[in-house]
Amino acid sequence: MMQAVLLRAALLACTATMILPLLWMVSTALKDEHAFQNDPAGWLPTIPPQKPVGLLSIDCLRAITEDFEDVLLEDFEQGPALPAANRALARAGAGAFALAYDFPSDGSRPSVQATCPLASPASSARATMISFWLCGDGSGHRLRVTLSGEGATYRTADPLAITFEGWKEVYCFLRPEQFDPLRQAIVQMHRDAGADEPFPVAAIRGITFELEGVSRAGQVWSRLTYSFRTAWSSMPFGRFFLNSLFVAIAVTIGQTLTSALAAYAFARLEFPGRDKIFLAYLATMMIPGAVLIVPTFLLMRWLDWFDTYWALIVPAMFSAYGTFMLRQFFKTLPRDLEDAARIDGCGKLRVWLHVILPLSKPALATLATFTFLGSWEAFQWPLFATKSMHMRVLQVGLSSFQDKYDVQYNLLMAAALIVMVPTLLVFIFNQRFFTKGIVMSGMKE
Amino acid sequence: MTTTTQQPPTLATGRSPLQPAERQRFWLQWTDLLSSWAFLGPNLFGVLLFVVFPVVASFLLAFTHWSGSRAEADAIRWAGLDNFRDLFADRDFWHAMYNTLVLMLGIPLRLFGCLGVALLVNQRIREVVLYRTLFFLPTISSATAIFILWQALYNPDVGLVNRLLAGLMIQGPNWLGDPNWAKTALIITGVWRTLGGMTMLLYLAALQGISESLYEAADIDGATAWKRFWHVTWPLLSPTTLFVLIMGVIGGFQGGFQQAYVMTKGGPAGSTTTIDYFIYNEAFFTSQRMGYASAAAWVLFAIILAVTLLQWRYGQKHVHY
Repeated sequence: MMQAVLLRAALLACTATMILPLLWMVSTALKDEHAFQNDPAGWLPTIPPQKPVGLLSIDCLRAITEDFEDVLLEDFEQGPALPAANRALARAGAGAFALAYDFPSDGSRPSVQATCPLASPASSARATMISFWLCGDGSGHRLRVTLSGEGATYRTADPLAITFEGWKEVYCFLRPEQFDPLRQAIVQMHRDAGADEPFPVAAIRGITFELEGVSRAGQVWSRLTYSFRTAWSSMPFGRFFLNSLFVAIAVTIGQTLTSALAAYAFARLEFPGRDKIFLAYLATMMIPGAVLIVPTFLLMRWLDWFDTYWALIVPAMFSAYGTFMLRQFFKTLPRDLEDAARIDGCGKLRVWLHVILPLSKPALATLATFTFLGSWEAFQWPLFATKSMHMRVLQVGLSSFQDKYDVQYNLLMAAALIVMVPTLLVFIFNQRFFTKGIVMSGMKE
Repeated sequence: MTTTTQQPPTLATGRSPLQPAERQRFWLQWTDLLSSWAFLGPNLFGVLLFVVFPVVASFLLAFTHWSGSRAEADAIRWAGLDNFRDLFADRDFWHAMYNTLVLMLGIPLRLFGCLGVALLVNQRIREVVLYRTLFFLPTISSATAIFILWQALYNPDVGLVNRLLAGLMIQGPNWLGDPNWAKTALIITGVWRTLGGMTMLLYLAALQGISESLYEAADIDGATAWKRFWHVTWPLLSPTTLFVLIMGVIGGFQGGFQQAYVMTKGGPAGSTTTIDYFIYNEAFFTSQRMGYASAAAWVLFAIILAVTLLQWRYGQKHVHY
């Protein structure tokens, strides 16, 4: 009885140690910067009450030209020709454009809209961005911006969820850009028709703000996913995923195939020098990676493979360990079937393909799984063998994300979770297979 | 089992024409040999190019000065034993060696931790599979993600570790910012990450392989739980322990790069720079001294080889199979 209680207590303590950090990770990722700074200790994300009525202030509307020059479009000091209700919200003595909203709960008025006509300065420069200051209220309502001018209209691709509080500078890109969504709020805009050529500042005629009310569920959702969405859009994680997947699949196929071929030669075929070569193979498994990596790196540069998929895939495709493991397994297969196939006139290749491989499915699956995992997890070699962002694999990409967003823990945790979760899901659904394989390959080492 | 090796047939029989049967056998043997090599070929080619060639090249590089650049100004120069001489006089190298050895204190910790967890999950409880899955999660997770997580946990102001310590009225240190604590922090993370991992599974498999009758015999002799563990379980686990130790030491000497790179970038004040990190730092980050890095890699290899042989010798005497 006493023993059972002690056992449960020990298991519980162990569980707490293992699970607390992971819980903290999830809880931090569900907050935004604001919530994390205000309450780093809280386990549950706080979501402000729904706001059906409120006021958004907009100030200091500028166009940014190709040469990164600012052209002031409207500072709202005097208040342009605006409806009286929208006029002048005080901010440090300056006027601002105000967008008042009132969303009745019956959903009869799901959005409000306000247009601000602009008398643009006679500048012939071309605009690549529009920027303005926006005082967010954390309501989660979604803002759409439409920029109209002579000959072109730009609309937001995805509306901006107002999850932040306080003033923030919003950038509306009129063409695709590299951006850093942490420092500013970003809106990508698309031209309605015609080519995406830069837009003359002088042609700008007006800007329309449209605020869509969100339901409570929508508000909660946009709050909770804020860090994930921001992390995902601030680095090409989609590309990292595809890179990792492509490299891991190629390495797995290559390694399993070449290992299975060589293992068959070592296990069954007879040729001079076989056992000596095999011993040499065994010896290579002892060599530390640090010895190999410098010359391999230089070889990649010499082959002009640096920063390409070739460098990520080819050196990882040949493994003495895989060959060794499969050879040991092939040795345990009964010879009778093979002999029967040989007598029936099968060549070596057909014996290998139709007798050996089908019999070795468990060993092949284990090798393939661990090769895939190894490649998915590989860090050092992909770090040194690539340089450009679009060649980075997931693990290295995640580490450069960390270099960039040093102490933005909500974003870091969200990014880390994005990277972690797919493997965890695969593992949880194939658990028995994994643990069996680990013990099998571990004991055979 | 050595097989009779077949010599490739030769045409040394002078000009005497081969009989048809002989000729057929000759071709059969040749194609047999060729097809054998065709099986081995792809892998052998890869191993030669990406293992054997780098080993030879690295050995030669260790005796040169080279930045790895193709420009003539940085031409490769013969260095003799200079690199090794410099290495042994390099304070950073010895500091890295010291760091590596200190970080390896995590190996016994991990070993006992994993054994403890294995003993726990070896009990007959219904939900044991759940625990096993739970403990395995950090092992299957991306290592980079886990290191980033722990870097955040160690934050002196907002991190979970110091907040939990504060709950116990303990003022936690600035874990990763203090040279005296950074290594401890890395060890804790390392142990946490692998507590329910491969080593635990190996121990679990070994525990399940111990025959029940041995315990029954011990019970008849009136052994306490501790005595049962010390005189039955522990000795029977010794092959696993030896295996885990050898792999741990080999991994410990050449490991630590990723953890240090993600969590501390080798700092503060070089206190988490392992030999591995030192080598990559010399080769790729700061100085691009390819020859110097190669020399350090070979010294590391020699150390690993020597220590492994020693452990093996020791194991032969003290392991009960």
